Amino acid sequence: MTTDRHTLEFEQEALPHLNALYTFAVRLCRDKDDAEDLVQETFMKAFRFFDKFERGTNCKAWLFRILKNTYINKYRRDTREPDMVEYDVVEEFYESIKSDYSDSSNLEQRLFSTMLDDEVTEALESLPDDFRTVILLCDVEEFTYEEIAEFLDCPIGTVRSRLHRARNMLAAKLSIYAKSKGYTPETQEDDSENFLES
Amino acid sequence: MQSWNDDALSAYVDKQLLTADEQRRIEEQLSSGSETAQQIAVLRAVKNSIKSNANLRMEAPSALHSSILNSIRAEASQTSSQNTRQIVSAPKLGLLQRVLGWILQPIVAFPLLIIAVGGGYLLNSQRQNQIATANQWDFHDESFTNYDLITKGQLKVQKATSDYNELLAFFKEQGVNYDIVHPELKAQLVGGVVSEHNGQKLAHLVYKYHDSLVYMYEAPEHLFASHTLEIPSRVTSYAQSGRWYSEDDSQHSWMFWRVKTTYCSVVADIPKEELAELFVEGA
Repeated sequence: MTTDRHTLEFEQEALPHLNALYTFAVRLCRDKDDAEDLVQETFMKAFRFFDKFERGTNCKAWLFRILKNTYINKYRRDTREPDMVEYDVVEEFYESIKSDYSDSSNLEQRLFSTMLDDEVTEALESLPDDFRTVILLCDVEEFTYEEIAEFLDCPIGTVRSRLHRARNMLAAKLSIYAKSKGYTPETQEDDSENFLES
Repeated sequence: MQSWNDDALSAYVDKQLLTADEQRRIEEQLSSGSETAQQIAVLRAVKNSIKSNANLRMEAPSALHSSILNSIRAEASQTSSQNTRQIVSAPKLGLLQRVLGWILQPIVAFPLLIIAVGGGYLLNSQRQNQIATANQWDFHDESFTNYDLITKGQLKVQKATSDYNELLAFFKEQGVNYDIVHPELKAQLVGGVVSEHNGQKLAHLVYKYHDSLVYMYEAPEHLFASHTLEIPSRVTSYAQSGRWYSEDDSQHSWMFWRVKTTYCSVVADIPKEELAELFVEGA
């Protein structure tokens, strides 16, 4: 392949994922300057090894793996087990909706509907790293469980259970957060029931 | 197990990795009006609140986009001009090659090796080896970089020994936790180095053959499966089949093969045929 064609193909295939990589890098580094350095280094590495990228596979997932490896090498972060989920908080949350939402129709639309993006982001930020990461990869980046497992270098079953625990944890945190902000059922449209005030 | 603690519910919401049994069980629970409906509604609400959250999708600064684009194009044009230069001046050795050629002359290489081994042994407890800082993740390229560092005396042998069992004990003690391959070689073992790659300790063995250096780099298969390390595409089929691969140029030869779950890479400054002959058949 000629250098020009190689460069053009890389630009077309990899650069459209710049925003996704930058977003993830900011969440990972928690610093925009570090995130920029990390993304720049990721793209340069990807460019040098682009001939090893298997055409037709998910380029975004490939770039994310490079980003993660670069991040680990650069910041020498140890991989560790995720923090424990506070089961009592999650259980308490489910008990509250069980008692207050006998009718579960439209529950999906009613729950957390009054929360602002900033508040959801804050709740997400408060999750332990491993839980936050799996949610971002699944729900924001829309990777499959298999791709996430490859990214995290762990079994798919671990991804599934970690994601589930993360969502439960987030649900409980959002509920507590809503209470602390004084959101009441009256503030929610078409909602005569109150799960937050239970 | 609490029903909310059933991770099949998230898999159901994501429509992923759900067995037929799990799918049926959840649908039965949904139709019987159990708490499952509430739990799924909660999971969907959480997923939607994340998915629709504009804060979680950022736009990279335009300066970053330009900087990446410029760096890529600069590197591409540099590569292109290097290739052109190489074609034009192929018969001549570059300065670096000439210096390396001088270093690798028997009269210079052997004392250098002795200095490297001795110095490495003395400094073993005082310094980290430099392999770990390499940013490359290509098994082939890393092997050549490390080989060069050793021949230049910039990378010291951490454990100087000609006793394989002693070296193996050193590797274990340093945390190398995969099967080390020790082919029978018609070359003298000089010592070894342990490096770290993404938390995985890796073994490197150094041999002496007349006045040449034979360097062997070993890594476990899972690093390749997770793309922490990569092999050149030309050897992929050899990795799969376990067959030996070798190539050389005017200066060096490289051999690659896999033994069970360990990938091996050998670099030496002798022709590939000569390198292959060092490996005792059937060993």
